[in-house]
Amino acid sequence: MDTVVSNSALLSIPQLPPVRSVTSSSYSSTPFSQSLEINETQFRDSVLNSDRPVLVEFVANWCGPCRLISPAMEWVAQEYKDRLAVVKIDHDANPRLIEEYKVYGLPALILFKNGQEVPESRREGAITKAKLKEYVDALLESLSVA
Amino acid sequence: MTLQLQAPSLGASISSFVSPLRRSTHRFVIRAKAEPTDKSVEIMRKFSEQYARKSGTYFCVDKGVTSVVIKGLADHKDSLGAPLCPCRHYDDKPAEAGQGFWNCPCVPMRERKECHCMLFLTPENDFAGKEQTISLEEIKESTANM
Repeated sequence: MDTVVSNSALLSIPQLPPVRSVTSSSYSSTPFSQSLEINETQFRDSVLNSDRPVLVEFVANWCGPCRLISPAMEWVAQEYKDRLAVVKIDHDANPRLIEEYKVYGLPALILFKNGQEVPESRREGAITKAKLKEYVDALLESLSVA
Repeated sequence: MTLQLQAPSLGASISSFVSPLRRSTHRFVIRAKAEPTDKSVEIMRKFSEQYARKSGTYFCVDKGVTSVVIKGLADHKDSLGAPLCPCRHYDDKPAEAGQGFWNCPCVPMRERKECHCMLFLTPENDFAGKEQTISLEEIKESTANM
């Protein structure tokens, strides 16, 4: 595992998360995974208190489109690693987060900055790598202007 | 000898440890992806082929997506008695399965050929392949690492 994740908040997360995140195996098969799976106990530290914007991906175990966008999400995590953190959250294992952020369609992407959901950053369903890049670029652009 | 004599009292004290252990194991089992039964996978595989032909839709160019969704449907068929869409979050799965809106083929699929799970794709979809068949072997192979 290449630890290029440069966010200090992310790095401080224990390497072996508790029982709840065992489902991560289905999504972290990429050997040089930049996208970290977290659970609701880690959400405050790695998302809300992050010093960088964090793109959160809500996924499900048997969700085809979640699997489909996985390589593109890994690409984003790698390509934007100095500007953006990327984390993955399993919906079944983290009901409190799902309830709080009202996520239904999966995969769902939400960008967080300074502990807040960035307005209009929410997106559901599969997305091509090209469209994902446009989406991330537009969001980062809007953040830098704001 | 001493050990043998102590055994019964040990047994009594052990029982108090058993329940928390059991509980965490139980949780582990739920969170880990339980494999759906072969029977349900086969039922959902056949259903998917038939419905693709009937609706004039195609499987994803990445059959891994198709496989994952078929397994997700089979898993819900096993656990809920109905093939509830695996690409959504539900606050109450049994209630949702009983209600039927998101049972495959869901209402958006039946009415507008919209399958956000990407099992049935209209030909113009970016991710549509050219096939309407998938074998049990393909399903097993492409989900072997999950």
